[in-house]
Amino acid sequence: MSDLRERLQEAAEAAAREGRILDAEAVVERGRRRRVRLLGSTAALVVLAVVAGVVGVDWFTGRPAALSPVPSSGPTPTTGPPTTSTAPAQVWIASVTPLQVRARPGPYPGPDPGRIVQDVTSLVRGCHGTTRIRLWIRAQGKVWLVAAKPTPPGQARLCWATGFMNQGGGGGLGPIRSQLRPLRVTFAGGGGNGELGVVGGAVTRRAVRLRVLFHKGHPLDLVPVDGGDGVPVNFFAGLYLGTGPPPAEHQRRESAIDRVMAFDQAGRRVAECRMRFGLGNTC
Amino acid sequence: MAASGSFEEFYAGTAGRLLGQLFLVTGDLHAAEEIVQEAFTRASVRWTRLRDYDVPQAWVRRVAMNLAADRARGLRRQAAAILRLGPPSTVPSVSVETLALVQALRSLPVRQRQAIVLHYLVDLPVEEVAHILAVRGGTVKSLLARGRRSLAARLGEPEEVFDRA
Repeated sequence: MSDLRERLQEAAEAAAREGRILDAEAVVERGRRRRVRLLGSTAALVVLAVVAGVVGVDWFTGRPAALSPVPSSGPTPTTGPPTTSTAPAQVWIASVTPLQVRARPGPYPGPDPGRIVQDVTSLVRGCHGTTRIRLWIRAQGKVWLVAAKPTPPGQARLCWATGFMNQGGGGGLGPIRSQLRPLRVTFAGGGGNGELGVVGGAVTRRAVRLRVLFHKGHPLDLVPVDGGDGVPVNFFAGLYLGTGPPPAEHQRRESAIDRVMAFDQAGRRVAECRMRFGLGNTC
Repeated sequence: MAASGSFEEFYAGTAGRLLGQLFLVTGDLHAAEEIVQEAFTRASVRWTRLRDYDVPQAWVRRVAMNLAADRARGLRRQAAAILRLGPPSTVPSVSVETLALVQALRSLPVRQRQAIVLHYLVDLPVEEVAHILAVRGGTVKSLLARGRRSLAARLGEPEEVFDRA
């Protein structure tokens, strides 16, 4: 009698032979229609959020009490000219309050109602090696974490992903497979109106300290977390609250972050990048 | 191996094989067809990212396995109604022995079916199966052992027959 493997093979081949699946073109078309629907939904949500901001609706319940600013010698805050309803589009920048929380290395202990750990680790599943959560932060009822796999010898790439989970499980994922660079920065949220923002990324192992400079508000100093065996970078993450008013309709959206700098043990700057939307971004 | 070509090439090269695997997990050809199409639709939406993966079919397989597990959970909730009203499952033409195996597989919990298909058919090592099912390696070994034992019992064959696999 044939063994289990052979009989499984026979059944699978028969199913593949007799089963009917769509043409590739039909699958692509189905995907295209779905993408259009998703974009439509996203646009509707953005419009809803803007309207909610304009009428002053507070979307966040249980907003934390005001936080004391971090003393520092940060850059002089930049303030744009006053805006009027007739003025051309102005860059709107939220004022920022850095939060003093510590990024923690190692496995995320949960809870994980939105299965963010599973989602984030699955994003790097295509790379070889074992996926591990490298660091995580939990604050204000939200979680941000970084997963990465070791880089094979001789390669100059980093296989990693980030995830940001809101209370209740929803959130965003940032799948990232990138060429190795001395400093790579991602951010999420932090647009103002009490919104929690996350700045994080990967930095050369030479760096022992990072400073995040905001357009407005005090800077945020961060200590990188060891990337672990086989990972040629260290990771970092910090949180801040964008406490400014929401942007008016004619104001252009801009990241609250201006620059991120990395320093080595001797205090020398080993990397720096500028955070911009679109052209001019070097992060 | 990264799929550097078009989505159409990737689809043509992998859809049939995945359909066979999903048929064994769901026990129903129509259900497997729907799941495979849904998994590839999701892949097409993300193709610009997926094509750079070392093994993009692993992503599609994982999505398909999750969809199959979701379907099984939904079926469990509606089990009574389906037993009364549901149409018979569609199966392809296979030998009597294989048909018996398919029916025996269908009686196993979906996790055991997934483990058996991924390990014995797709030929993935236990660690990789554990990765896909998001469980520990020991759990996979246990799923495989229990699955083999159940299959042998249902087919009236000594367990050693399947231990050779």
